[in-house]
Amino acid sequence: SYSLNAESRLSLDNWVYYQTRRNHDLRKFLSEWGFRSLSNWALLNRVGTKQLELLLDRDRYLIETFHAVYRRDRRYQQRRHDVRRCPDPTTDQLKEMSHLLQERGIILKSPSQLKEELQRVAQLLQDYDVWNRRGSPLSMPLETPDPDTEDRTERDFADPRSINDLNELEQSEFLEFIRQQLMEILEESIEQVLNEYITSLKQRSRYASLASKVIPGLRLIYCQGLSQKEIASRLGMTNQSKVSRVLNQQNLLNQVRLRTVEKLSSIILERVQTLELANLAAEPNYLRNLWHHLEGFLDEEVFQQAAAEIRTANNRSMNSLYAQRLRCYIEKHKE
Amino acid sequence: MIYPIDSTELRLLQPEMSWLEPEYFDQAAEISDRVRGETQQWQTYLNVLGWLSFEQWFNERTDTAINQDHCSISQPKYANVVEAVCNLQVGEFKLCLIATESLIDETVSVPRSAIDLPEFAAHFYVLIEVQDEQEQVIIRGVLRYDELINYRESVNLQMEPDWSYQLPLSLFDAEPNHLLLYSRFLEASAIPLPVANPQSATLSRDEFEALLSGLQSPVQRLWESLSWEQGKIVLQSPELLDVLYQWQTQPERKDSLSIRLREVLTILTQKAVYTALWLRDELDELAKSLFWQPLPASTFATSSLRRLPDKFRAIATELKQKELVIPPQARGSYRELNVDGIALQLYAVTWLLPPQMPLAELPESSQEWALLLILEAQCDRKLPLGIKLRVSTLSDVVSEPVLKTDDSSLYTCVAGEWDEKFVVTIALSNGTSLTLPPIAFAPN
Repeated sequence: SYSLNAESRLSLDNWVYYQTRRNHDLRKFLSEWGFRSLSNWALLNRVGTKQLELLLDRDRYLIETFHAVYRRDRRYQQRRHDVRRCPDPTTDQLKEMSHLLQERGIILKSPSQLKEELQRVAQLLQDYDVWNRRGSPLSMPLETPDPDTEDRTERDFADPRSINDLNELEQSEFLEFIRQQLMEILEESIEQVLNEYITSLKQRSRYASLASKVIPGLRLIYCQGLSQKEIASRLGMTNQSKVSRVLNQQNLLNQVRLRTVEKLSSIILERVQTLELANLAAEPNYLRNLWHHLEGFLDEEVFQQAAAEIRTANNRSMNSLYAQRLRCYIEKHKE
Repeated sequence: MIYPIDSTELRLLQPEMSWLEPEYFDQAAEISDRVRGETQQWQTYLNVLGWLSFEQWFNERTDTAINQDHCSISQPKYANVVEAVCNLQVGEFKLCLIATESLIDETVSVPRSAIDLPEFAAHFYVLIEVQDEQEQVIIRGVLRYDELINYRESVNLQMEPDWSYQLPLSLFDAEPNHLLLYSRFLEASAIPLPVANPQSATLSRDEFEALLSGLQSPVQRLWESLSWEQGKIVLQSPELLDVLYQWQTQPERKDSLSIRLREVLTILTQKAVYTALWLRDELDELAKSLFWQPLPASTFATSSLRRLPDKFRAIATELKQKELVIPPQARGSYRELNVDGIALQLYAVTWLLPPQMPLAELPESSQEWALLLILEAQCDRKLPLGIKLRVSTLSDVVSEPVLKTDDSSLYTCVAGEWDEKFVVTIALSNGTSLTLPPIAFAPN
C-alpha cells in the first residue's frame, strides 16, 4: 500500500521532471474534486514560525490560539486506528478559542465565524505553499490591508470553490504512484482480458476451435510482425474472415483499455471512500469526470500510441508500451 | 450537457464494435416477421441485430448477465408498438437500446414511451449503429436518463407527431465503456426513474368512445389515430396491447376482438359498481345512476329451494346439482336494458365465498366473492335465440353461455377476488352488443 504522507520527499530534480509531464487534466481533476491528503486542520497544525511571520497580526493570533487549544487537545485525543485525520474543531474548542482571542482584542460574532476565518487562513497557507515551491518571487505580501478600512484583500490564487487543493508535491506523488501502478495494472489487464477472451471463445460453437489459436496468432502479429492477412494460413485456418474477427487487435486493445480504467478507478475510488468523500463517489457526474480524465491520461500514456500502431499496420515496429507488455505476456505463454 | 470531444479522440478512430453473426440475421428475420407494417418490421429487424450483438459485447466484458425476461422485443405485442428495445435489466439498472442505420443527420430518435412510461423507462439509453452490410454494429454512445430529462427541460424539447423526441447525437457520451463502468461502480438509486402510478385513468363516456374508435381504425401506428394521452393508456396496458396485436394479425376475428377491446377498455377506464354494499342492503351512487334496483333482502333467506321466487328456483336447483348453493345472506339487484330494441332484464346476485365451495378455479387461501347473472326478457317474453351473456375479466373471457333452446332465461355464475372486475356484454346473434360498466366486489 502507499501512503500519501510519506516521510521521504522528492528531490528537486524529480519534482521538475514531473512538472514537465503533460498531465494537467488528471491532477487538476484530482485537486478540483477535493482529493486531499491533508485537511485544513492538519495544515494549520503544521504552521511554523516562518509562515506565521508572513501573516498579519490578526491571522497570526488566530493560528496561535488555534494551536493553543486544538493541538493541546490533539495530543490527548484517543487515536483510533481508522481516524487519523484531524476532525473539525468542536464548538467547545471554538468557544475556548474565541474567549482567548477576546483577551487579545479580537471579537468574533460566533464559533462558526471563527471556523470560517480559520479555514480562510488555511487556504492562504495552501496557496502560499504552491507559490513557494514554484519559486515565484512573492512580490506582494500574502495579504494587503486596505488602508481605508480594515478589510484585507487577498490575492486570488486558486479556484475559490476548492477548499483543499492538494499541494503540488502531493499531487505529483500521487501521479507517480499511479504511474508505477500503471505498469502492473496494464500487465494484469492484458492477462485477464486474454484469459477471459479465450474462455468465452470456447463457449461459442462457431469460434471454439479458434480459442487455441489466439496466442499463436498474437505471437505471429506482435512478435514476428506478420500482418493480419498472412496469419490465417500460418495458423492452418482457411476461413480468413473468422480469423480476423477473432484476432481483431482493435477490439483487444479496447478491452484492455477498459479493464485498465476499471482497475485504476477501483484504486482511486477506494481512496476516495477512505477520505470520507463517499457521497461524491456515488454521484454519476463525478464518476464520469473521473473516467474522462483517467482515459485522457491513459490514452496519452499508453493507448493512443498502441492504437496508432494498429492503424498503420506497420507490424514490424510495434514498440508501444502496450505492444511491449503484450509481447511479454505472449513470451510467458509459450506452449 | 454537450460532451467534450477531445476525450474521445481515440474513439473517433477506434470505435467500439461488435460482430453480427449469421444466426442474428435469422432471428432478426423471424422476430420482425411477427410485427405489422413495413416500417416497424424494418426497425424491429435493426433492433434485433443491435440487441443480439450488444448482448454479446456486454457479456464479454462484464460478470453481470443481462436479464432479458421482460425485454420488449421478444414479445410481439410490445415489439409492435415500441420502436426501441426496452426492459433489458443489468443488476438494478434498466437499459434501452436505440438501433439505427444511419447517424448522418446527427440526430437520434428516442420514443417518448421509453422515457416517460415507467414500464419502458431506462437508466441508460445505448445508441447502436447497425451496419448490416459490413456485418457489424458500432456502439456509438450512452445517455443517462437524468441527462436526457435535463436536456428536454432545458431546451423545452417538443415531442414529434410520431411520439418521439429528436435528440442531438452530441448529447450522447461517446465512450461506451462508461456504461460498463457505471454498472460496476454506480448504484441504480443515483438515477431515479419515473414510478408506476397504480391508479389507471378514468375516462368520460365521450373520451372512452373516442379512444375506442381510434383503436379500431384501420391505420397501422397508434400515433396516427390517438393522442399521446390516449396512447399512454394503451401502452401501459398489456391486455389492451394484446388485443390490439391480435386485432392487427388476425383480421378474421375482428368482430369478437372488437367486443374484447371494448371490454378491456371498460375495465381499465370506467368506474365499477361495488356489490359489497348490497350485502348491507345498500347501493352505491354509480349503481343507482345505472338504475340498479335492489331485490327484497329476504329473497334468498331460505334454506328451502321451493320457497324461492319462480325465476330463481330452477336456476338454484341446477346450481345445487353442481354443488353451488346460494346462501341466505346473498343479495341481488336487477336492472333493465335495451339491446337493439329488445327489452331485457338483468339480475345480479352476490355473496361471499367461503373457502370450501368447490368452484373449480378457487384458490384456497383468499376470500372471494360470487356473482350470479341472470338474463331474461322483460314482460315475460322469450329471449331471442342466439343471445349471448358474456362475462369477462381484464385477462380473459370467463363465461359466455349462448341461448340455444327456448329457455326463458340465460344465466352464469362466476367467482373472483374482491377487487377483480367483471364486465358483462350482452350480444345478439345479429352482431349488436352492449357492454355494461364493470362490477366488482370491493375496491382494494
